[in-house]
Amino acid sequence: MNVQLHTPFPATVSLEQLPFFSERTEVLKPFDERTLGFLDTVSKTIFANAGIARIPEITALAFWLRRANMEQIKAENAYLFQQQLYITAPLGRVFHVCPANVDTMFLYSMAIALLMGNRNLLRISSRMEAPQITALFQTLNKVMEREEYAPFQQYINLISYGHEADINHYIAANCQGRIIWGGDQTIETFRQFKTSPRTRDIMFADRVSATCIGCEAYNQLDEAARNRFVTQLYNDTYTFDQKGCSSPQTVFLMGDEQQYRLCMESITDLLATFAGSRYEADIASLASLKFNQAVDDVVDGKIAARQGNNVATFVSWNPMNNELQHSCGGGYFYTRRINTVAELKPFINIKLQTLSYFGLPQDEMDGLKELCRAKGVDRIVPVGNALDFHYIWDGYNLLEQLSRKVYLK
Amino acid sequence: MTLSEILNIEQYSLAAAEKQPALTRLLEEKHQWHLASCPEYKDINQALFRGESTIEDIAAMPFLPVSAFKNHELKSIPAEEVLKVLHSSGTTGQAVSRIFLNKETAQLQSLALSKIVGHVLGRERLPMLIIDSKAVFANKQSYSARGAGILGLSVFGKQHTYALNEAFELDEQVLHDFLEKYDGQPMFIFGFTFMVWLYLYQARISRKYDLSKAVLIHSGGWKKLTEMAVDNATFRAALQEKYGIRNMYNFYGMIEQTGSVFLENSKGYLHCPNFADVIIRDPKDFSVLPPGREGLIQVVSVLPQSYPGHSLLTEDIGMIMGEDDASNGWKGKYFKISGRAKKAELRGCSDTFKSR
Repeated sequence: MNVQLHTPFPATVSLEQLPFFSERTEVLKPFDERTLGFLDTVSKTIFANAGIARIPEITALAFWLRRANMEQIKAENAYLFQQQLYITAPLGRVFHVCPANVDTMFLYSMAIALLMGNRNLLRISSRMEAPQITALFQTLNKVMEREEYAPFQQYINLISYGHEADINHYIAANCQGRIIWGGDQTIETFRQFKTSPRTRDIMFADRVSATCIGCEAYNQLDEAARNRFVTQLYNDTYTFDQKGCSSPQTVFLMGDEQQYRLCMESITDLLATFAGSRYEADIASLASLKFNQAVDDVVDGKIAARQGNNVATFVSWNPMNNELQHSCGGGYFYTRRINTVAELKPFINIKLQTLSYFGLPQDEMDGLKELCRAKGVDRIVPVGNALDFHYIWDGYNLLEQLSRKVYLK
Repeated sequence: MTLSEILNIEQYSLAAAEKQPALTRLLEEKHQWHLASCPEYKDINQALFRGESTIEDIAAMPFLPVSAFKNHELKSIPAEEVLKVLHSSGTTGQAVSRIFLNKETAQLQSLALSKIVGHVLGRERLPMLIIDSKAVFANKQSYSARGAGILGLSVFGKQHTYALNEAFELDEQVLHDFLEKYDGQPMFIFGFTFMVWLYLYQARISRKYDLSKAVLIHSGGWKKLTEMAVDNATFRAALQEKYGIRNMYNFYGMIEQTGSVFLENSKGYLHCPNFADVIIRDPKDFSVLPPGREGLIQVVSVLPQSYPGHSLLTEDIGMIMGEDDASNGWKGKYFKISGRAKKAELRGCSDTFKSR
């Protein structure tokens, strides 16, 4: 049972021989000083690497890993550490199945698990070969080479392997926690591998996301502010080809007919231009993909019109259809005009993960929060923040999920 | 010009000034027919195009993606009028196109194909050598693609002879006997492009055979040969050198527009017959691109009446190389294919462990 090890050093190794499975030599407490130092050093090393530091998702990651942020997170969760009733301890060995194209996400959930003192084994898709990802692996390896951080070699192992069932069985039987990204099908696959009775699974199921824009507020923006808005919408959407489950696939526009038309036209034009100059995709493939989708949607009675071009495509979603749609990706948005957020009620359900918003008046925001509390939605964030990782994700506080409480009396 | 006239006049005879208005009118008739007969077509015209029923030039025609026939049953005739259903090839598990034909459309397709093939083979049926094995009909999977292609072209030949044995090797005795029998006469060779290359050109033969009297028609795409770094020029030179074949015609066509084939002209480019045309579209916004600019290929044809396939956007990429000025005198646009849009692979967080 050999696997390809990327971190702490590249090698082909036998699964049982992974440092992850070895007897541990160091015990890390939750928010251990050495962990904060390690993550802060990783952050600094990334910032020092001109080749990757300027890639937005990597800058965001490095910024997030700073000691100051980790301390902030600790402060926000102080209740976990100040109890008379219990002390907080790591789960132990945590296995992560990482998404193939949401490049940096796996490092956030790994860092959270590490902060709580867990050892981490990450399964990385062998298709994940973007240079910036390789550079991130190298960064981790470099930091772990230092004597002071060498113990982390047992705490962070990144591996690739095929679909070997025996490998999956072995890992499942030998870890105390599993974080499975990848939606329903992946969850189904990994459920087949029997874990020990006490293993805790954190599963990220298939979700969709939407954005809700106040047309009137948008229409009042000056040109510079509109451009800022479109840049943020672009980042939320195109960073992972609109395939991140937090990227909006549906756009709700709140306003009367006239406000709606003005707003829709402006966003369509600006996004088509902006994405046209930024988005790196094989445009012929994208055009075919979206055209096929649009024709399917028309025939299935889901849409009635199309706006924009093949880089930024907006289709007006038929009011008769109230089931949240899965976009084909690459900037294909289902749009719907609404008069008030109360009209979002049919869409707010367990499938909807992130609702990003822009320009909603306070009373509408309040209404939205109440709707979400009752029926679903795990994240309500401003446009531009849809992809921002937070330790509160999909309805979980990951810090709690990745630790256990030792009751004291 | 009526549909019958444009099919029956000599092919490659119409220059742009005459062809474009005639074709526009015939396509407009088709457009209006499908608007009235196929509700899906009408909805698509309304939602994704201008929603008009009149067409001022060919480029203003709405178009459907070729894959629409895979995902939906699109037809413009009542079910009881369906004579047969054509199925595209596809590897196991992939959706296949379903093309619904009535008697009229099926007849138009054969007439059109005979006009094009007849243009290079002449009116006589010629002794026909097929670079394939009869075994191709035994295998259901390849039957739909290669078998149908062979049967479709077989009507233009006689004394059909399969050059490959059951193991798909060149049967030299068969080749020898065929040449002996039809020595010095014109003959017709048909095969799929990669089959011709692998099993005729690359076959180990014990002596030289003279096929200089033959017209070779081949089709099926260049994907496999491109992987072997064989282009059309190499292909032509090699077959001429080894077998003396000079008359070679590649053609491009698809099951979704059967009968409407684009035959290779004297410049080695694919040539539009009188009753069909191509438009190159910018993948960015589907605007029409001028000659010399590469984009997605749209094919239009006056043949499809029983299903809305008269205007299709393919996933092939190509460019217009010229119009009305081919050295063999053929009129009409000609183009080349430079590739195919890759299947877009947009992956997200719901893609971590794709099964095999």
